[in-house]
Amino acid sequence: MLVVATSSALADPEPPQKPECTGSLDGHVVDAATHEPVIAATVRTGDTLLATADEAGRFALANLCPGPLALVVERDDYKPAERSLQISGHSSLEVELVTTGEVIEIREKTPPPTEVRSTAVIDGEKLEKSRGKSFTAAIAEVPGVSELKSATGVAKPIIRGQFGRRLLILVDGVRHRSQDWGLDHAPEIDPFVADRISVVRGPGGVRYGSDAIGGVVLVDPPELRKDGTGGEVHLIGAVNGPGGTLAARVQHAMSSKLTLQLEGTYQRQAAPSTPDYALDNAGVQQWTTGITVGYRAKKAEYLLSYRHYDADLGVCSCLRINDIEDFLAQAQMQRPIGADEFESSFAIDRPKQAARHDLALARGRFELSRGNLTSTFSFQQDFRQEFDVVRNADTAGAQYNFRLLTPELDVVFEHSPVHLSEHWHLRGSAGVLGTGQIHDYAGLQLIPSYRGIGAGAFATERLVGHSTDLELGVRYDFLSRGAELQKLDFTRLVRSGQIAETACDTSGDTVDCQSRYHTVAGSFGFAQRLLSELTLKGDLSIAQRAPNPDEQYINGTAPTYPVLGLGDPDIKPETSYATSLTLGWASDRVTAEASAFASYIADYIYFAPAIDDAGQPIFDVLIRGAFPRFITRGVDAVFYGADGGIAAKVLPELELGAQASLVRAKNVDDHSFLVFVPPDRYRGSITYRPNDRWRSPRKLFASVTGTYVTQQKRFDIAADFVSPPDAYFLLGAELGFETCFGHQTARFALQGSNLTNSRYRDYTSLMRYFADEPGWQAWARMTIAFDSKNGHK
Amino acid sequence: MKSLLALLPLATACGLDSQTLNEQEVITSIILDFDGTRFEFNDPDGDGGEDPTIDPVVLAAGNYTLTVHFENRLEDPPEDITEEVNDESDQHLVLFTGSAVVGPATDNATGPLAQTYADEDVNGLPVGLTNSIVATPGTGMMTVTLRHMPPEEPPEKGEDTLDIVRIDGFDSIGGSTDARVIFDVTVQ
Repeated sequence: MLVVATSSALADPEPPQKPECTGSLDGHVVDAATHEPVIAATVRTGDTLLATADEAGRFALANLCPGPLALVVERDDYKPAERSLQISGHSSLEVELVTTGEVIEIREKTPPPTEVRSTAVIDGEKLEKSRGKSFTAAIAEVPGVSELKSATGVAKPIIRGQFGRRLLILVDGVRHRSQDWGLDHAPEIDPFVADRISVVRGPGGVRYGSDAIGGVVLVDPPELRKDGTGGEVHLIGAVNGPGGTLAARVQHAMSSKLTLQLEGTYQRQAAPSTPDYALDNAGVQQWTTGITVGYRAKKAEYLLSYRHYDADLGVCSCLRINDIEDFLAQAQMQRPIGADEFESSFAIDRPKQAARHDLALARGRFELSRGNLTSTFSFQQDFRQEFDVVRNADTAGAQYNFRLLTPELDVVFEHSPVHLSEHWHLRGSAGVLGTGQIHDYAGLQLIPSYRGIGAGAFATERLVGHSTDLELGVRYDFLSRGAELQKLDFTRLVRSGQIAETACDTSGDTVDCQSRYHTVAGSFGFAQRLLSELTLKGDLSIAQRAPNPDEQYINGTAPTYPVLGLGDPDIKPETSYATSLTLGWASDRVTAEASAFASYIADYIYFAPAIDDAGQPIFDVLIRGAFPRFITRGVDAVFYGADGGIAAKVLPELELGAQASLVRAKNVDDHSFLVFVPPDRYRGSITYRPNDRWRSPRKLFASVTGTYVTQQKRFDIAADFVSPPDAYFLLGAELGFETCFGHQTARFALQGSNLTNSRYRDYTSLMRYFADEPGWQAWARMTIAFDSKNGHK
Repeated sequence: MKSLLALLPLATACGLDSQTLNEQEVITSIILDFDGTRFEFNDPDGDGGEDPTIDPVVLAAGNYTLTVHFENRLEDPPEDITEEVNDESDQHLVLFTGSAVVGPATDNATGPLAQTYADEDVNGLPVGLTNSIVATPGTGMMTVTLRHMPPEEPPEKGEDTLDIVRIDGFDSIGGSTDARVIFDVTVQ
């Protein structure tokens, strides 16, 4: 839908002067077919312009005199609509506009309605600032989000204290399926795929899967263009660890119906250095490639896409996880043993990880008489290998090999808006999902191979009014899983008392353990516009998450910690009861959002130290010494907190920003604190944007950012091993501008982080036991955006 | 489902072949052989499950040659890991510590077992698969540690490794622990 600027001057309507003229009218202009707002539609009576519809298609008239009023609402691409109404006191009106001429294109995708949870969108400039960093670093700019860093320099997101299995990441609408259970398994996602990343903080279970009890991250590639050629090229150089990234994406419309997109990234980075020493072996080599073909027919749209991700990640040789004594001794030291010999090189030796991910998808979107049907079939392969330091030089293979295959079919019907009255209409969708999982594992004893099949169904309806949105959703999921345990692994679990001998079928070569889960999710949410700038949103939800196979069957020393992990095959699904309230303010000068949240999770599946009857931690004697025993068990947990941010233009050229993230989490059974709950985090920034004086360079900006992270005082030493690291402050800065060459644009930026070269450790980093975080870091970034339409206007 | 998988070349090309299972380098058992008298730490089902059995070391006073052997009894027949350690002896060191041991890695003035290394690697550094022991009456504990000290986890094995362990303790040397078990020692 084109936004057509009206040629008439947008002057304020002449306010009628008569004192009795106190009537008012709230209006809402929508497209008759899609019920989407019609932005910038003009509202006039006779020849007098009264108002212009805003971005929500709304307009307000005040000081109206009692009596009849004839309004004409129009926009160039719609047929004018005439309405006569009687003014007395306050009235409201919904005007539906019908497009002019023939509809030659499929209806634009209805944009998702206002999220009733707190949601942050990273796109445009914000996304560009994160280029060259990992996917998780990109979204960690959002209040309430932090990074759970592994020893490989890559990280997974934590949203409001929840991570891994409790978060869903959707790439191009498809749920990313991977080994997300390990603390050191970062999502295999190339951030350059995204044109836009949305972070939904809080349960998003109804639409995306009932296990999304922590949040949802949507990674959306750009829309396919309908004509011409365009794309972008990014070139990024980094100083610490030295290296660079080259990324490119190009779209070419072969015809008005067919568009091709190609994308690719290559990144090579040597191990970064702390202020005192290099994080030996923590280099990164990553490449990705993707091809997407889109075809548009009259009433349908088809998309085929394939993406491959490939990464070799070196694990810092400072890690000492083979026995608990070395681990604890190292954790007390200021400096890793052998740090004098550490170097920042590109070579990636053992220990290392190799991660490959393939995503192929086929999507069809069909315009039906009563709505739109979208069907997506996807197939994913996630192949992860972990290579330990080995004794025998001839040992070439990995010690842990995981392969997960996931075919999935997702069918969603979005019904056309139902008009209930002048002011209320109903939007909604319903869908079904079928998924299969084939997981093969080979290597040191850890987790089993398994086969799973699942199905789900959901429905949501949203009542959309003039200033009120109400949303109700329900979902049901079924999951059946058969794990194939090696006989020896099963025997181990039986002897450890984790499973009954009769619980599984032991007649075959492997032991077959079946589990079935029925989970439900439900949510109620609202968004209420209190003032034109002020919105209040809230939600209440319930969601259930079935245990993952690792939570059921983990059996061995974990590759991340020197602990002996034991699963619980009979563990129940966890149930989250959550609520949040969010206040948003959006005006020309100030945008702000503040959110408070709380959730109670019954039977929260927690991997924590096993305690004996006397309250003492249990140790198991292994051949590498005595190891603490960690088990998965259900506890009742509570999470609560608040986060928010504000950006204010105090002067036309000067913008101030601030954000805060606070989260608390407790095991209410024994009042202990949960692990990996991020400490409080505050950030402040000043951005200076001088007015453009020249055509090129232009859009100059300079910004300084300060981040303060407190010490985590709420911890459980038995699960954390050592006290959390001290609070720290990090200083960052960025400088950038844009230039033109020919008709195209190039953007340049210099960015620096930890500019004071602080020594610090992060509570939510596995590295905190072994080494400091990297010291000062700088990036130089060049982005070229090209478009064949530029210069041909 | 099978036919669908066959259509995707990547799905089959990266199969988890059974070879990967041979890459594990598991040790389940340590055997101390004092001139034919054997004492074992034995955990035949690997980590977890059944608790390991640890033989107490009971010896008569005298001179012994102690050889140390490592096995993986998850394999049938058991896999002898000692050869592997010996092949890479410049990256391995067996250390003897604890109250029972008087030796290059301990600071004890007295103890029932006086240990000296009786083998060396290509660099002339001790390995610890073969040792000379002088047993005198007394009791104590002996920790036997197989330390893997490859170039990937600096610092590597060196002339000062045993001194560092003796002075600063175990946690101050490079590498990682492949095995670490504690035996009760009684010399009559």
